[in-house]
Amino acid sequence: MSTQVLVVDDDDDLREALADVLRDAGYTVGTAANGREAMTAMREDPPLVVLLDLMMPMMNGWEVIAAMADDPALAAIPVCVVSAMSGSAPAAAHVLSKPVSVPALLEAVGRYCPPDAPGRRKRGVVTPADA
Amino acid sequence: MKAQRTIVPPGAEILLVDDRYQDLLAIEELLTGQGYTTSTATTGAEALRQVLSHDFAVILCDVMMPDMDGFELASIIKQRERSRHTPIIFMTAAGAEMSFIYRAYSVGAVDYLNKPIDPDVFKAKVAIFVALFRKDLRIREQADALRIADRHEQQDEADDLKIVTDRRYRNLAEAIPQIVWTTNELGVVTYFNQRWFEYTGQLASEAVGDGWKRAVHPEDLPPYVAKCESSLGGAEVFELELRLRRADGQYRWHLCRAVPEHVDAEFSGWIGTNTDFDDRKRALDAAREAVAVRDEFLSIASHELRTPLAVLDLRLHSLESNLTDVFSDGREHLRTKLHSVRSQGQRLTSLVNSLLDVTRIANGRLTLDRETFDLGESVREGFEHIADLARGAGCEVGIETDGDLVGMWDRRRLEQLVRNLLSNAIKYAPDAPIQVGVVGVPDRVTVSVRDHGMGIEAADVERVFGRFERAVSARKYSGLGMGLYIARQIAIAHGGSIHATSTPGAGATFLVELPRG
Repeated sequence: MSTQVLVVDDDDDLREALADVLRDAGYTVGTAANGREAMTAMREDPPLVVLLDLMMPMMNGWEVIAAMADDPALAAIPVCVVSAMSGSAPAAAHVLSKPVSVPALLEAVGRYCPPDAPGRRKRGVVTPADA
Repeated sequence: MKAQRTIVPPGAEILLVDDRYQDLLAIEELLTGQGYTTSTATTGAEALRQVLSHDFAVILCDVMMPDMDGFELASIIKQRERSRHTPIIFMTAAGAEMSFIYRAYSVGAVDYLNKPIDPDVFKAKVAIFVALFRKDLRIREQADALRIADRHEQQDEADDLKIVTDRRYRNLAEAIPQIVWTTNELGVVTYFNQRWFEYTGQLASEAVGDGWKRAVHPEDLPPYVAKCESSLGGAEVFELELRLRRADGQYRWHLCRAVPEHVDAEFSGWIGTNTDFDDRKRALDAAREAVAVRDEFLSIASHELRTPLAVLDLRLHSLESNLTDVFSDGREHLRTKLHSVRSQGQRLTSLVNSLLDVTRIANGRLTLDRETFDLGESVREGFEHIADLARGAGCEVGIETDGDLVGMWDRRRLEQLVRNLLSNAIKYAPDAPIQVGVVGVPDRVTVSVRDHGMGIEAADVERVFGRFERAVSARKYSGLGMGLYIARQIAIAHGGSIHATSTPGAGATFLVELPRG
């Protein structure tokens, strides 16, 4: 199944926690630890929405947004910026301030794509849909 | 041209103008022995030159003259402010037509005489004008004399005063511990008190001209000179910090303050003082730096704390939703415990956020992200975040809206403002209803939050908006005391305001006014 949400954050724990919450909500999630990885992942498998941290090594969030705008295949993908700095976010589709609350996160992502599997998937439990 | 040079006899009162020299002589003859001084001109141009340089009691003027006739001459004389009121009498051949007489009056003549001139009528008319002129002259002289006498008296008094005040100023300047100096209107130093020479170790001969500048720190001199030049002639008090070299070679910070002096509304120079405030400045700089370091630390710390807090919250959320099966079978208490951990985590997050906001405000970094939205909806959303808190405290929150509530504001910040006001009401007025009103008027929208708690003492009504302030003891109520401070700063950033009114014992009302942006 192709990626719906690409989570880009250099903090491993935060990235995985965000991805887990989204997976729990039924999304197919991809992850990237910096802007460069994010661009590679996006070109291989364009997501429906990108959850983007701004302050990252290698290639930061602002650079990712600029690179996406230059690529016709990626320019239309909505970006949710997750930032600890209010007022410094670029003109992205949506801004979530850090720390992100779960309802705000799900609301923002839900605007751009519905979860693959409706309802919450229970890990370790095989549901008829998975079988 | 020299032949035309006009000479008016001193004290001349009567000007006779006639192109025929014989006529002039005849008229002059009539006036001899009357005590008048007369002046004569044979052309209009010559007459004009005399009128330009001299005031006459009366001008007797022939009408028929070559080049410039009497009418032309009269109208030029009347155009000139100085000679406008000089009477002109025309002399003309007998049997003149009425049209001539009208014309004479229209150019400003006061009278006319027919030639040949009747000596008695002529003398009588001239006598009247000369008498008037002399009286006028006398009155003017007396007025001038009075004015001069008056001015002398004032000047004498002023001179006396100046000598006394100058002496007192100098004494005062020598008595105070500060350096005192004066400049002239060009900014050139004209005086230093003795303190300057003691402090800098300069000799009077070293300080003259620009010599004093050698005692100013080289880095501070250009801004000082620039400021001096830009303030020359100004009416503002001049204030600047600069370093002066003390006699022992140490540069010490001085506060230089000068006020402009004016003489008759004209800028006449500066009178200034330099105060050694080196110790104070160093202490102040150190304190400022300490505050900046603290704010910077708070900012970084709260920033850094947010990531682990976010991870904790997300992980706890996942746990809660993934362990649903575990919570059944009589282990419901686990869910309660997990929920408690998560809500404490969220509380920590909101405290950290408040700290970050306070440091942002202190550094002037509270920026707004304006968008157009309905404040009524936003207030309801702000309330949703703390609905559980309100229920837990037994507060029933009623929200009423009225009028057009749309404006350009920062949605997130205003939700925070409303949340802070509501949390405050819930905290200090539990078990009582809270009324929220959102009202739109033409240029602004107001939000009021009314509680029925203990209220605020009049003396504390403004203090509650201070940083880390609360109206009651911290032992009784938890929190950092930042909620109302942040709320007010958010209102101010939007160009609005928050004020509280209260009757102690009967609750408080917080009123927010927000221009539509």
